[in-house]
Amino acid sequence: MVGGWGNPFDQHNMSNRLKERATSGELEFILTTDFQISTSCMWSDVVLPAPTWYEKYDLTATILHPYLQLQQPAIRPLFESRSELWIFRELAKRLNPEFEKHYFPGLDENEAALKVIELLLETGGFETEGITLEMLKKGPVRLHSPAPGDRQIPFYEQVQHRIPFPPPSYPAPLKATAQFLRSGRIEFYKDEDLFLQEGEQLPVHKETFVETEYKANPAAREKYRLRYVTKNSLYRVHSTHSNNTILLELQDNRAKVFLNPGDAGERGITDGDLVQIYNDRGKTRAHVVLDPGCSAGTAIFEEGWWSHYLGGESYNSLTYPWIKPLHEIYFVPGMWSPTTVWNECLVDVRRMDA
Amino acid sequence: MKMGMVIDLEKCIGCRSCMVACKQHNSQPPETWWNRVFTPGSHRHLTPPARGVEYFLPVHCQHCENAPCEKVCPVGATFHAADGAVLIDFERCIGCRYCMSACPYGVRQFNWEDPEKAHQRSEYQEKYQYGYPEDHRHEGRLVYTPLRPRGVVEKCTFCAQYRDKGELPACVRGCPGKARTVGDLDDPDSEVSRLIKARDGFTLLPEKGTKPTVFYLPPKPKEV
Repeated sequence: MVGGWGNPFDQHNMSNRLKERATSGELEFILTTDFQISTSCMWSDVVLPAPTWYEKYDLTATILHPYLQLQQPAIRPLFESRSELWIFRELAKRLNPEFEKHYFPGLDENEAALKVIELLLETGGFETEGITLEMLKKGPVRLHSPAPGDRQIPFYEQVQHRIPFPPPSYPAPLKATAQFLRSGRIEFYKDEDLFLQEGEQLPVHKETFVETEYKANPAAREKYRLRYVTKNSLYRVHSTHSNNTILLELQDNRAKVFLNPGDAGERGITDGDLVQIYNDRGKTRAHVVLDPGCSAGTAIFEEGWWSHYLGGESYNSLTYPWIKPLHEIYFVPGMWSPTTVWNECLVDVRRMDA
Repeated sequence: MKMGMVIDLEKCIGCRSCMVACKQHNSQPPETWWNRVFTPGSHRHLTPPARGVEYFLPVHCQHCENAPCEKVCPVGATFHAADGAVLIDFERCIGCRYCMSACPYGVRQFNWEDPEKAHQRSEYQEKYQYGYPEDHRHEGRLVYTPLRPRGVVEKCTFCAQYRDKGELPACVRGCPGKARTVGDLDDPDSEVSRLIKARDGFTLLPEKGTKPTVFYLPPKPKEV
């Protein structure tokens, strides 16, 4: 298992299975690139030091705004760290000397990165037409859009030029995503066998847990009465910055679970108590915050904690990768594929000293 | 010239970026915060109060015109700079902490520990230091040093080390909602003066007679 830019041993919906497979030897070899000793690094056989965002070139874009930005190094990579491009070029070369040619051999890691960025700009289609590396070095550049003045108007071409739905949605090619809307229009009625079979040809409300937790274990209805929601934390980007001392101090250096005061009272729990969150699959621990804004029957935990802050008990040991049947009808990786319904998880909470 | 700051509570989303920017730029050790963002009515940030509406309140030195901390200082360590900012001369402070009990906003912090030891409590790599790295003197007085000696009081300086170079304080630059504005309160046409007038700017604890130069713009009433 070779990975980077992530921390699956905390964040994967089956992080505990990963740990089991690493322990049993089923995962023979684990390699991670990172610039922090995350949980995944701790579980790796080999950790290769990657640089931080401020030590390498990268090209960044987001769905949150229409600008393309060049990430430029502010300092040279510290210690022995080398960019991922360099690391993977060297690994590829050792696997097969033939592979090196795909990684801009002969150029140093920064020159190679800039070559990749130039290639992306050249081959990016109308959105990047005319945008050069020089322009990006001066600051963010607005991507072109089909609408006048490069404005971001959803479905502009579909409405104004009558081009069939859907509009391109990256990174998948249009051919792959066009199968979502075979009629070429926005579909409120899905005329597909699997949708009909599941009774979801029209938008419909389905009760939570009926097809999952209650089906797997009818006793769960009585035994585990709290919906487990793992929300984002204010103080992290998922599991990045989990070990930032300043951000840890802002959270009193401890993980929290937010409970409705009624649910807490019923279980003899008061604000600040250390509790165990548990179900048949796993357990974790956190300090209780009584939150009148938390709806009754819900336990909210902030995802992203490295497991060593939780006594080695990952919050994803509780979740289960239920697969919604409709997720299997198409397969476009990262866009429409089987994934976890993270909040389809029941737990209960008890005081650690009880 | 009277330096002032306006904080728009309608724009503050409670993200605490200003707290982190302030702490980092001004090299504050663990448990020391010159700048704090609260959720009024609730003892825990971002947890709504049991009654009333949720909003967020950044609090740091209010740089009062009539500063009680300055009046009680027996050695003249706390002083008003020419632009109105209240600063501490670390070479004069004797650590009596009268100013801390005089300040009604509770924003002054005391250095109980050897500064290097204090930083090391966070288990940083040896010799690692964050923040503005050099001493800074304003009007000849030592108002910033990356490692404040044990036994002195410290607090927000409106980032004296940056303002003297014509740069904005770290909290102003670090605010993603652009909730903070600095400017000249003496100039009726400055942005700060206009905002205070147009949006009914108010100060904290006006009954104390401290005349803060930090003004707040009230959040708009929310539909509940």
